[in-house]
Amino acid sequence: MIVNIGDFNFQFFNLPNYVKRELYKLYESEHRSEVNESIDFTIDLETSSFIRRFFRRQKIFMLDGQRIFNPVAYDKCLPSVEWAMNWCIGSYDHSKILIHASVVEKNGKAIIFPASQGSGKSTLSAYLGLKSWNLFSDEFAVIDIASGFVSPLFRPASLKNNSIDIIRSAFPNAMFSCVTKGTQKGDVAHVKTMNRLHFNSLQPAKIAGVVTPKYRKDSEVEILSLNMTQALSILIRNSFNYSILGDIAFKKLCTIASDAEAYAITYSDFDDIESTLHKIIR
Amino acid sequence: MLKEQYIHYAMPDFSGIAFFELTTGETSFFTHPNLSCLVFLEGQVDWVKSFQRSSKDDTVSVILEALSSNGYLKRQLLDS
Repeated sequence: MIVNIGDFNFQFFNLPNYVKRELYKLYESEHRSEVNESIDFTIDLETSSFIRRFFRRQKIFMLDGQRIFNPVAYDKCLPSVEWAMNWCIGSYDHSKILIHASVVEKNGKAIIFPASQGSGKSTLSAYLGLKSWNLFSDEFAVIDIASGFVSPLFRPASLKNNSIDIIRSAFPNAMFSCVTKGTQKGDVAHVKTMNRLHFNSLQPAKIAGVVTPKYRKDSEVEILSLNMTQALSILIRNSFNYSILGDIAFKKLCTIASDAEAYAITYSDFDDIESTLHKIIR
Repeated sequence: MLKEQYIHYAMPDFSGIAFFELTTGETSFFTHPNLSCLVFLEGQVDWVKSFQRSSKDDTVSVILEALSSNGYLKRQLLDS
């Protein structure tokens, strides 16, 4: 099965049937036996051992013959497929600057949310992606080194634990994957924020804002303006491949940090933060 | 002047100067409340003009001394 996410093509072998069904749904992928396009990453989900075919079935994720994760329980493979794609991009694509961040775009201007786990960035970006924004990615800001523009990826938003119910109640008609319970990150589900046709109409966008969001229950929205040095520090700290790209990445991130507005925002209400984000892209 | 192993970027809001060390790949930052006293030009500090200004402006002299102490600038030019 081939999954195209925009700039990258993944080929998977030996996917469990339930994972295939979910990937068809999320990525609108076609099952093809012939490969007519270049494949960036080939991932084989091998069965771990003869006994494991009958007892506590597991899959081993192999990338070019190398095991990339510990064996994964058969019924927990869907999130691991998503994490495997993240791992491949983050580990091997050094033709672009990669920032650990979610990215939303509107009117040709992008806002990136570089933030640590538990900050609520994925929930926020899923919410925005299901409203009037385009979710470019909930994991990577993929930045072209020459232009400094961020590219869209065709990926669903990843939701964990309480976020699943929050987004499901706000958008009951959205297309969700099945919920995988009891993963290392808790319960995980994915939600589709756009169809392939819409994705194909998107263009790389200029980064207008760098925002570190922090969800705090029942809080009023608090906006702290960050200076350019702080913005640059955040971008560098969250880059996957800054140390590999070296001075090229330094120069480009300096330019991005000095051109973008930067804020640390604490929020509890999605609509409050959305109005602030609109001001950034005005 | 700036040592050869460094490239730098002076943030236009005068919040800091970022240095990238070409030999090690390390990035470091220098901040000072009066950074705007240096001569900035399109993301760069004009070191020559800043040194010239330091003879008349003690604040500039202090900043350049601090940059030198932190290992970014060549010492002998400051001493001359």
